[in-house]
Amino acid sequence: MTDVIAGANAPRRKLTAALMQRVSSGLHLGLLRYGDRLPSTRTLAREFSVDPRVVLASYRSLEARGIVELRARSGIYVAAPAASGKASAPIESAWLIDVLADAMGHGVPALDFSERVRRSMQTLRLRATVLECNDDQLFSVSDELKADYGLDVSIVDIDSMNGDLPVEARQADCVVTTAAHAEEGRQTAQQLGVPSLVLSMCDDLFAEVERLLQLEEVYFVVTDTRFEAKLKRIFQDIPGSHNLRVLINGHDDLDSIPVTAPAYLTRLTRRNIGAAPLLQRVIPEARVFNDSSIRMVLDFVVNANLEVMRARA
Amino acid sequence: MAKHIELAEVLRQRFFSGMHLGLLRPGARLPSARELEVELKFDRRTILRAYRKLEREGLVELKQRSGIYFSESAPWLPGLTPPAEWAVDVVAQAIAAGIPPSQFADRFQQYLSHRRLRALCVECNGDQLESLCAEMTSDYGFETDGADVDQLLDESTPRDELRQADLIVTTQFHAGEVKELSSRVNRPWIAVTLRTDIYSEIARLLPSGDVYFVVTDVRYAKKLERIFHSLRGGDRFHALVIGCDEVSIIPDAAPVYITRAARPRLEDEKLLQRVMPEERTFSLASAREILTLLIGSNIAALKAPSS
Repeated sequence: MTDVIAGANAPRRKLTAALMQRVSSGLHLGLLRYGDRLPSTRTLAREFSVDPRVVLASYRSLEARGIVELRARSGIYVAAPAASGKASAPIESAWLIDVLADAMGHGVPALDFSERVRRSMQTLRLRATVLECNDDQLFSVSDELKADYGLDVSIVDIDSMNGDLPVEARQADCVVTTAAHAEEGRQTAQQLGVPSLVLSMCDDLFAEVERLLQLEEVYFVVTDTRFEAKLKRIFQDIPGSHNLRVLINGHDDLDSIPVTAPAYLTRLTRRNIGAAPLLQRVIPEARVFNDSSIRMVLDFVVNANLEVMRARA
Repeated sequence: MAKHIELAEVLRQRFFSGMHLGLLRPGARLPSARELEVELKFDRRTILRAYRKLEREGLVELKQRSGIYFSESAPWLPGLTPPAEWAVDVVAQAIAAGIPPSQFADRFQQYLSHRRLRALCVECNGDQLESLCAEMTSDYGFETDGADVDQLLDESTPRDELRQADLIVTTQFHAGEVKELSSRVNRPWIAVTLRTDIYSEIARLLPSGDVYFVVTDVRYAKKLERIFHSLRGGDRFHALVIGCDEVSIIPDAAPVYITRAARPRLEDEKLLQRVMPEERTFSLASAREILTLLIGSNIAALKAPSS
């Protein structure tokens, strides 16, 4: 299996990831809607310099995941979200079979597999202290740690920390922060005698924003003015930075955002905004951490759990 | 595949076989890189890389200036858990596919056991029948029945278990007969291939000493003897049938394999304790085939409007 992934299927996998990212960024920024038509295999083959059959194979694999829909003699469209109403994407069965067969190879029966994985994630109730300098990021990082990884989270605003941590933040099993605060994270973790995890946010979405900024205005809607300043710093050196528009929810008029402009809402904004037309055209992103950060968190969670399982055995 | 990964797989199988044959116990010393270099013709760096990989999986322990040992607290022992780096990899892939870790367990379980499937296992001897049924039940969650291949062929009206089976399971020996049976009732069938690591380990051991195989069905004993007696040292292979042969003749240090059917009928506690039971006998290719059918049926059932 490893051979297949590394060999003949590599261009297709790369392309599939790129297309998936483009569709999801498009949905998150409000540029695409469910049912929109996507570029033809011929157009993409030219853009990515690959064989049209490779593009078709990629589209088929996205179809298997329920992301796009291939209509005979018509074209390729963004698929409607799962009809069942549950927001859960269907699992690609080829992948599922690969994973379970691999589990068998490791001596884990298919039927026990999910329970074993669950135990290696949830035997321990782990606590994280999240350090950040603004409410938007504090919220999005802690929300994802709680919802996806089952961590208990206490949040600490770096600006009001004064070198002192609240009691609950001291009981953490790890300290989580983003690259901008790696040093503070490291120091705090050292002080508590726990590991520090420095996360990076989903680079794909930011890459897409950078690409768009060269073409048109891109809107961010945030809650904390400190995140506004941070965003402006992040994008200040790229071509098209003058196209960045950051609006503060509750302060600025969100109706001023043109209907067709790409717009990004932070999680905190989305929670606070109530029912706005903007929410309807922008689909929330499922996660904010990038791949290597996901692995970092999983590494920490799985190893902490396995350690305690081994000790109990 | 990278050489050290290939070698790690060879070593993993050999160690597991060693446990199933009662030759290897937790904490036992394993061959050094130098010894394996001579035997397996891999270079020493590759051997060490393979050992390090097994160390990360918790299977072996590398002790400085002392040697390589079979782990005492192996995390892969029944009831525990797969290696960490692999678990991380799988969950990370799941996240990329849109499944948050918190939903992972439920989602996977749903695709395996939303619908309960029935399997009819078909063989010509009790030992293999027992092991087919046990594996279909415990690893894949099938509801299973077993039947003798000749009896089934003789029946003019197919029995309910055959007509209602979601899958008919047999081994390669009876592929032809089971194909014929399945065409009578128009049900899917599979001839599983069995993992050969135990057999090849026995073949490797025979030239240097006696090897014992404890079974319950004389027909299986005959089948095994046909396989091994043609090999070098084949006269050192002994298949013992519980109830006919005396198992107390097995020397303490000799490698011995006990079939799943034989275990509960064996009264010799000492013998049972020194051999680790083998739980999985289907080859990975067969596991894949069964999983494909199982997952396919579950997906179809999940998609169908609930009544």
